[in-house]
Amino acid sequence: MAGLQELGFFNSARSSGQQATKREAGTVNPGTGDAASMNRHERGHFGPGSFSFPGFLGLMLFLSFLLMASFSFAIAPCDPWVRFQPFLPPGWGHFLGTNDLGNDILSELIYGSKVSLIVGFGAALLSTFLGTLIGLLSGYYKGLVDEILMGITDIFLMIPQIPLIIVLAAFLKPSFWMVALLLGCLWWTSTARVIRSKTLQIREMSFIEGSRSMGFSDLHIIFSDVLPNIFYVILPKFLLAVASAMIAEASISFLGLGDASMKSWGMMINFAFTRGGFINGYWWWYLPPGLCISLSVLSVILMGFALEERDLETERIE
Amino acid sequence: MSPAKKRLLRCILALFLIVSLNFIIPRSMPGDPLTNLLGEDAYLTEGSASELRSLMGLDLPLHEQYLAYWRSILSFDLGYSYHLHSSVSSLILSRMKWTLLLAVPSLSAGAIFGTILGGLAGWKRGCGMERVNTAFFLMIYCTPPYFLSLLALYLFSFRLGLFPLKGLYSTGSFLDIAHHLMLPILVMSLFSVSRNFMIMRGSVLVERRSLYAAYARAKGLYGNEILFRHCFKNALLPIITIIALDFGFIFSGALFIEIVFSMNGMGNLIYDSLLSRDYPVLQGSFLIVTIMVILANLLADLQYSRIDPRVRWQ
Amino acid sequence: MYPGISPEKHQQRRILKVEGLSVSFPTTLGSVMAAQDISFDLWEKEILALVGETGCGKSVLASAILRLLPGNAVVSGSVVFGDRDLLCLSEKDISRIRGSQISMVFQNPTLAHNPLIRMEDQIAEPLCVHRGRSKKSSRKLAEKVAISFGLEGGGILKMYPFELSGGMNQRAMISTSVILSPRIIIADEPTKGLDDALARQAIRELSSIKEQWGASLLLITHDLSMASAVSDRMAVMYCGQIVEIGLSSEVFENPLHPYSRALKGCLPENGYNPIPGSSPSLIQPPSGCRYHPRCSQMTALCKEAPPMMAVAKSSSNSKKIGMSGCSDDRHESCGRQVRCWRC
Ligand SMILES: Nc1ncnc2c1ncn2[C@@H]1O[C@H](COP(=O)(O)OP(=O)(O)OP(=O)(O)O)[C@@H](O)[C@H]1O
Ligand code: SF4
Ligand SMILES: [Mg+2]
Repeated sequence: MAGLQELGFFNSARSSGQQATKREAGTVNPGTGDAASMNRHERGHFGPGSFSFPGFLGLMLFLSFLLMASFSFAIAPCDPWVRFQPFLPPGWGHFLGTNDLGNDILSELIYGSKVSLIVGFGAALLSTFLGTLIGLLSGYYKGLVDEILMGITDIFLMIPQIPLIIVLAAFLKPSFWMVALLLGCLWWTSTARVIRSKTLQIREMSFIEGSRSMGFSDLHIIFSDVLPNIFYVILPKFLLAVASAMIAEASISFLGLGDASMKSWGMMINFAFTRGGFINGYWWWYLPPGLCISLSVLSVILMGFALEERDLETERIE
Repeated sequence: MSPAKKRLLRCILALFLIVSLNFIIPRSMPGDPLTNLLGEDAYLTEGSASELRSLMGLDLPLHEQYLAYWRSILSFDLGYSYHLHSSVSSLILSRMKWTLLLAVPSLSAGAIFGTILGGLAGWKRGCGMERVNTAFFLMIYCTPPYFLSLLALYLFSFRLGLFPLKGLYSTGSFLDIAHHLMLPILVMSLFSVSRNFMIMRGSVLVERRSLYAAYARAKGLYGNEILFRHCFKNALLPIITIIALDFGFIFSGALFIEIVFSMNGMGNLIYDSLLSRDYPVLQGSFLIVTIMVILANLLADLQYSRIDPRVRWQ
Repeated sequence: MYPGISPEKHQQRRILKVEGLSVSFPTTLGSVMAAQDISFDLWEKEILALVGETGCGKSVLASAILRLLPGNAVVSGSVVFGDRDLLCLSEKDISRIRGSQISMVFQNPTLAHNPLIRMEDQIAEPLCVHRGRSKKSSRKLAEKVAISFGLEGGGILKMYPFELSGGMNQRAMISTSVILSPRIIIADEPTKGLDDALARQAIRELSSIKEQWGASLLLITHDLSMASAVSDRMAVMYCGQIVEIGLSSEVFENPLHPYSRALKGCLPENGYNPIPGSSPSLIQPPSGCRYHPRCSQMTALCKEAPPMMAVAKSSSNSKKIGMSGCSDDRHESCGRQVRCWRC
């Protein structure tokens, strides 16, 4: 699943050489004070303002899923583990019917959002943290450090993550925390590459030179000068990572490798598929969780998309 | 060291890492290494267990086991499945062709249509048709492939009865197989188009702001001409690497699609071995998939240097 | 009659008339006023130099003429070429003019070439695009033109841009720009990045374009002495505005606008006196005369009211010249015009 992350809709990780030459096209004139020569800080990237309609839609969708996950106990009509009559079609008592064990599917659906979001955000936080750290160090110090760190990144990048997680999960029978941990440890690579190439650009800028000549330590420069200026890359990257992790979680639970103590959307589809829900045409069993997966992933991606798009628009075109 | 050599070295290191991981996992995971190596279906008496243990070298020191493991890998011996009563390598070999039959056409279609449609979408960002396209592929992009398969199966096979419900063939004739494969290939293509579409769109969005695109316009090129004469090739460059890296994911997608369509390929092999905890098959499959991904990466590097004169020159 | 103008020049016709051209870019920090109220004419077979310090909007102006600015640019005014306003043409129509009638030499030749295409195909491209010629036949012509600009031997034309030096890329670009014998060539800093000898050669080549290919040249540069050496007329630009325009020899010998004078003072042979202060922001340009914060002759009026372009009154002889010999239409453009309250 390297791709989903690797992708970064616009900031695709590409070889540094290419990046460097590209930059020259947009050489900025110090002193003219135009927008392009500004430190990113000052450009108001995170101010409110032009958050496009799709981005807004994504935000709203996401907020509703968040609400669903945090207040599932209050929103869900009943306990998802309680058994009613099995195979009920959607109706008044159970809006989305019941499954083979007689669990209320709507309640399962609402509780399922928890795993999806926790794994998504947990894994993405971890991977973004690792990726940012490695990218910063590698881009800032260059040379041997860069060679080694990027070598490791390249190697990790080539390992197909989903199959590896399947193998590990088969042995470990993991909890969902474990799934998040595994995903996080495997997915920092593309973030690292993007952060590295941005850091390479930033470190050559004059205000970094300034800090260096003022004798600040490297770590200080990295975290208080470089980091804030690449924040605008990290955030969309983070959201993409969330989306990837959510899809991965859904895939793993579809294989029945998820955490059996928690309801999850992938597992609901798995049960529908293996226990005859699909063959018998009980669409209410697998359609809603599938839609939930797609919509929640979509909501996160739309937000990331909007952030990147905004960046694209403000960037100067030569 | 030249970049090409460096890439090769990294591929080799990745391979090395994977094989080592495959060695370590069954020996370090909770449970009896013997079970972890044989799968939970191998019923053994106490006597035969200890016999097997020494036969498999599990009582040897680790480094000797490790060397022995490498030897067996290099002789394409991936172990024996007690569940399916067959050697893992022959199992994989017989299943692989069905997966390739699904994956190769879909991946090719995905690469071709995905880059062209995505390129056009990036080029014409903001126009009506482009928005519809992007929205459509974004939806597909966000949908796990198995759910997409379920939807397609429900709609086209259940409701419309256009395609068979499961399996690879009933009579075995070419047309029959094609009929069975049609829907899975369609779903898989859609899935891979959606990914390449989004990647290419982003890449063209970057390329079209470059100076050479502006210069092409200054030379009098008009509209799509600039895209196809200039930006497309350049946009493809970063994509080649990304597509290769994405290959692992798309390939896993094929596994899920196979499961839903009950096709007898690698996907179901992995799924069945997962259900029966047939670890040797699981590990062997993982190894093979990894090797394929690494090969795809090498291939992408070759392709890259064919397109980009700067790499050739180095 | 003014000595600088040969008799046949009076028969020349105007081929480009830029009037009231303004360009701004909306950004998050405010509008970047990259060019404001630019007006000038370009005559047949003449070289007009556009001089100004970096970031004053020269390239923006050049791109605006050919409508090559990014989509977010807000452009107003008119650019009349022949009898058509380029700013009103459809994208398809103007793309027929680009490269065939008006061609452009970009500021950064190494990056302006497509890294993945062989040089010869890039030079030949206008032929394929505008004349519908095959790649093969256009390559031959491309080779001929390229040789005339000194690109020969060593299989240079079969190479890729990254294999060539900046100077080579520059020549390739010049070859591309003349290959269809355009009426106008806009050359943006054609000597940037070249060493002195190469720069001089490039200039010689450029001036030969005028004779050999019968084109007019809009030469953009920040090198005042180079501009005066090759151009017929010269326009000095400051902070998005043209502040002085006139015959090159005259503007160079006897600059009227305080900024032109200061620019001349910057030249090494005049003792390298840097202009005090720094270039103003294009987002919030100074009120009144944009040069007033740095001008030594500033008055109270300068701070408040922006001066207009006007025929210079304090000049000793330009008025006379302006009146003599020029038809009414020519009058404006060979007369000296300055944007300053005190000239
Ligand atoms: N797309 C854009 N968006 C915002 N500002 C822009 C854009 N393009 C140019 N500018 C600004 O317009 C001003 C003029 O730029 P321009 O490139 O024309 O300068 P120049 O005179 O050609 O300088 P140089 O001698 O360095 O080439 C600069 O301050 C630049 O930052
Ligand atoms: S108008 Fe005033 S400030 Fe501007 S150049 Fe003339 S004298 Fe100087
Ligand atoms: Mg310029």
